[in-house]
Amino acid sequence: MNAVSPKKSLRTIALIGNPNCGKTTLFNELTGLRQKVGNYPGVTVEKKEGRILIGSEEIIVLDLPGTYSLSANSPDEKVVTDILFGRIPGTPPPELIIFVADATNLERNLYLLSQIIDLKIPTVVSLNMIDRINEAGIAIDTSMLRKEFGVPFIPMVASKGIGTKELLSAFEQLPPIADVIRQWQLPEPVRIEHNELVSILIANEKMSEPAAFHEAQLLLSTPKDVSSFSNEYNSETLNHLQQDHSNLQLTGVDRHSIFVESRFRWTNAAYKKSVRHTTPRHQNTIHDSIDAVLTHRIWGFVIFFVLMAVMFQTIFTWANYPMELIGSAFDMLARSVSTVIPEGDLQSLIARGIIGGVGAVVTFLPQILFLFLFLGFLEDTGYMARAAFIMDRVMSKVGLHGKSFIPLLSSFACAIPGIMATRTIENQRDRLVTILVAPLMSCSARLPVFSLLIASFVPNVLLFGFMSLPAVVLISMYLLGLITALLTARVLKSTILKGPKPVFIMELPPYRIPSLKNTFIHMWERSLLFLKNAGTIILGVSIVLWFLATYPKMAQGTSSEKLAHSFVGQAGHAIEPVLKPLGFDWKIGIGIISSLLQREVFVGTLGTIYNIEHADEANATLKEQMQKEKDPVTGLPTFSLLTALCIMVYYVLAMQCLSTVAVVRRETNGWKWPAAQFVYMTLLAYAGTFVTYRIGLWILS
Amino acid sequence: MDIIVTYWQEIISLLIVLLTIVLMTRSVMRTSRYKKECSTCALVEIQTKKHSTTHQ
Repeated sequence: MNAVSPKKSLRTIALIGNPNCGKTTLFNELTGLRQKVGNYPGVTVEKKEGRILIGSEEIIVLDLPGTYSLSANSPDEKVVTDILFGRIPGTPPPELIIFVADATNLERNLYLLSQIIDLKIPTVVSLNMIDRINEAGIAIDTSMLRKEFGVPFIPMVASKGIGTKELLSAFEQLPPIADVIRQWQLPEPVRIEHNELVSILIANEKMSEPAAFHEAQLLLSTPKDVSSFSNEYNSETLNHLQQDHSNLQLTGVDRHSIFVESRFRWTNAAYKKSVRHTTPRHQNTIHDSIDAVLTHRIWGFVIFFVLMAVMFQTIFTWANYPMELIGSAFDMLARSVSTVIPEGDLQSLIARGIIGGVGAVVTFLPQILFLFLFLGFLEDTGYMARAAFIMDRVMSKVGLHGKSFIPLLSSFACAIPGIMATRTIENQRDRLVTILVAPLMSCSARLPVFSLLIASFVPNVLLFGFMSLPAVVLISMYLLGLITALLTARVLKSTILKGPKPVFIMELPPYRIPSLKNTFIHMWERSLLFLKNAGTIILGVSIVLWFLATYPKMAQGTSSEKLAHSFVGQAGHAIEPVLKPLGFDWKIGIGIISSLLQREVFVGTLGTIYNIEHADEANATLKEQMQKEKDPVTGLPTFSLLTALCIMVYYVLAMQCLSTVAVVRRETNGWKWPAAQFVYMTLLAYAGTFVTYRIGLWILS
Repeated sequence: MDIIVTYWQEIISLLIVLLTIVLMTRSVMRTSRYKKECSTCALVEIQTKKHSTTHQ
């Protein structure tokens, strides 16, 4: 077949490739954007869009989720085929494809490439991670690859920007459609049936030739019954397909595997001609030796828990100093405001309402930064996938597979990307179970709540000579979330979402030295998001809460009496009977209600309420105010170690995040599941806290 | 005039509260409008300015 130069000007470029081959890294390099990248499969689960200028022309670049083939199984893989065949309204099919291939794992990548070039879309191959081929013990002949596949292969290191210029100049030359497409050989009877079906699909279903060519392979190899396609194709096509299935059965050809085998035979032959192994294949590498330890059935778990322990211990100790600095800065600011503005409502609003509320939350920024530093490190090194692998045994006991553990681990940062990461799960029921339990994993928004309570009420003593009690309590809260998530999944999988036990197949990515740039970009973006929330949602809630805690005013009385008389006080007292069995007073209740929006609002709310109540006590921190707080009736301290534990248990188990509810609604296409999730988590939180409180009282008595 | 002089702190504070309520309501309304228009991005992205330029 001769080269065909496209006449139309390029408008959309799509980045396509196997999972974890560096598509998003290249996308960021080309567009200057900062999409999240990670060293494990399934980071990108939807299309991302950016723009670049080539010459004077502005071009749209699409970063698509990774896929091993065009036979889409999971929702994220389906995005790729939908875009390639123009099935997404408003997104025209790409006019050029950059196929990103991992140079160290080329043999497997070539299968998808062969499917892509069959679509007759101009393609350039970015041979990424070319700097690692020596380590992998291979030598690649790019001119031979060019000859075999008919498309340019550009050696690149996307993370360092090496080869970007050559890739851009390949675009400018308008690369041709591959001139050696469809070289793979099918047995004659299969080829005849395939060609006939392609013609029928073009005539009856008005498909383009490349789409029909691809669809015919899927239809001929499908394990499904022909009648299951009755909504998608007309009866004439289906009759012909039924006939094709029968004919192929008579020839003795396994129609389910023949297309994959034929294609692999061709790509493997091309690979052998182009790639030379300088060290024997299957020789144990250093990566294998590390894997033998990290994925060991006993040591794997030990290392996992040691890593988690070190993470939380250092979050506590390292973040202390910068946290104190930020706290002092806010104190100074509040004092300056009190000096400049005379005593009155405005002074109270700014110094106690705004600075008290926002300051209480912003103080926790260093801990959030350290959490993301650690998570970024675990993701970039490739450890995350190993953690999923060792957890597969535990996950299979609850009826899920290790793939579900990646969304759960991502939910340690935030449930929203965690829930979106479930798009890599093919089985709808397994995906739904993972979505329903993901918010039980302790996200970064819970950290300020845990830290405030632990720092205020858990004694800072050493356990076993090296672990501090606060760090142990913090780890216990994370474990409580994880264990509850697994138990809930078990219940769901054996009741309303019953299904077969899934098989786990996941590629373990190579170990890589973490990219400091990526980690810092991610930390920077999370900090901005955290500060943005503090400057918008928490600021807004603090201002409204100040009003509700100040009005209606009382002419006489102590500040506690005035607070009790306010709107907040009245509402708090109204809900107090519901919270009393949990050991909570009405102020904690107001904190819980205001933080339905977002968990860290709880800290801001307590900051505002206690600042207004203890207006006479200058310089007292929120921690000191909470420690001094007494029950007006009994005279006993409102907060104790037990109360702090109860509040933390409540926050581990409760939903308390409207953004998550909205994302679950979108991912499940309706309100049924987010509503059920909100109700079950709230009931679970109430019951869990009640049990904790009762057991605590029993132990104390 | 005397009322303004005497209660200036209360008046400014209440104006700030009022403005906050208006801005928060407007923000919620705007977010739900974007949510209806957009079926491909998460709520966290919807709240950023980038959203308006990435979906055209």
